[in-house]
Amino acid sequence: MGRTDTQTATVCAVVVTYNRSDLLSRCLDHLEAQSRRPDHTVVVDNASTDETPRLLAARDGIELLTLHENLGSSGGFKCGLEHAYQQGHDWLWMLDDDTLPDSRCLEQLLAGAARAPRRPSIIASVVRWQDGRLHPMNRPWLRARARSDFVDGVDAGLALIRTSTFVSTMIHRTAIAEHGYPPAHYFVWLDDMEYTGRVLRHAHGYIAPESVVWHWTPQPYSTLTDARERFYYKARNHLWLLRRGESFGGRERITYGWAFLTAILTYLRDSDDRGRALRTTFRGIRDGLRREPRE
Amino acid sequence: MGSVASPVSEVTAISIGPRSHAIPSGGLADVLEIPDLAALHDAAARTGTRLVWLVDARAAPSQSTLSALLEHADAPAVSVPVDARGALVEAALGRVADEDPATLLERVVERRVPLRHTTVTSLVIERELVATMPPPNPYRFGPYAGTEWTARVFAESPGMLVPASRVEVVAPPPGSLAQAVRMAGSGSWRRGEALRELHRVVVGR
Repeated sequence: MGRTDTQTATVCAVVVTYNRSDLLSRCLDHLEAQSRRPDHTVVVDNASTDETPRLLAARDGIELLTLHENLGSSGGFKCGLEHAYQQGHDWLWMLDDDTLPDSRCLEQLLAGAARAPRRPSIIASVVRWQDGRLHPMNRPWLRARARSDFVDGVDAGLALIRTSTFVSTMIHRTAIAEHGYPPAHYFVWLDDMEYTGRVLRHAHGYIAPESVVWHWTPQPYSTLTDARERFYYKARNHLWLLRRGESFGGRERITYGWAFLTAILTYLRDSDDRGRALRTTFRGIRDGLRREPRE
Repeated sequence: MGSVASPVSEVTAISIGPRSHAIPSGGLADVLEIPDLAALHDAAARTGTRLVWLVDARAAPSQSTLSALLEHADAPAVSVPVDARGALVEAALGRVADEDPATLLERVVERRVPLRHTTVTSLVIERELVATMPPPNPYRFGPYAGTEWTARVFAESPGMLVPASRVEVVAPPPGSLAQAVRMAGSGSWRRGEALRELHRVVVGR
């Protein structure tokens, strides 16, 4: 059983990176500047080929996990989470390398965990883009229809959530003991939805609104507008997620299935190269209908 | 927090319906009783205070119900309806306005949450807003009249549910099929809400 108390709980930050040394450097600077610093920081390098290895070798205060091949953010997060969990930390704080946490980000996450009306399995930050708006890729899925729990959360200054993204999400070790790890085979996208959806299906998770990170993407894109050929992963993983059925049930699956159809239509409509978009979508659907590899 | 709390002396309570519980009236400017929501407009016009506290006469507010609402009276402020055991009475709550998560999260920091509509069980609101809005119509919408009215009011001035304020209520009864159909046509409910309420009316639960 891990500790949830703000004073005694230990936190391990897990940062996954690939070929973004400048942003990674800023991310780590922001972690060092936290009012409540993480007790440990693990950086998972997804076999970067830029300046990242040199940067990390020269950096103090981090533990480096270097992967021999690029396993995608999904594989990186799985490896990092597994490593941090085995070290015995209470909270595992998942961050992308283009995430810049405000100086009180972790302090506010822990304060949120301490005042939560139900023991939280997950506590997440508000994710903003450069101009201050909520980042479209990380808009929270609020659980306003679980009305009694939602109202109790608001009374504590927290917003009950159904899922969150690995841009700044803190997972308690008891959730990992019960649910295992995120799906590494997703490679990129929706691994966080699959995992947090699974954890929070019968547990409580909250956004601590005073905990803020900046997702420093070049544009405020979502999984559709940044899709390019990476839409293949969205289509494939979305189908796997729906078919597996451990994360969402009943009406949620219908809603999520509808979201899948509208995502395809939006992607095809907005694509500059309709033929390539069709081929990408077809490959994603084809592979999503095939048997999903299980770890 | 919304703003500096307004004093109780700036509030007139309006008790709606045949009274079954006493309103804690200490310090209130006045307490008015009206038979139903149709009389709300006229009652608001008769008061001289900036704020009115609309209370369902069957509801049982506690001493702290009003004071907690007044901490947030810069907007229409709504108590959480609970039963005698303190559990939320969902049928009386209304709907959280969750279509704009950015605004919602800002309000959560203030320990309140925006509503699209609610039943009128314990609501602090500016008298002027009540007086200028077309009144509720219980003859047309029956027990949904408060929901239909607050949907219009909150579209003008977003209402806020204040979890620190609790009021004991009994679950509101469903209306007739005709009232539910009229309500569905009013645009106050979303499609899912309308279907659920029509189902509740038809099957009686």
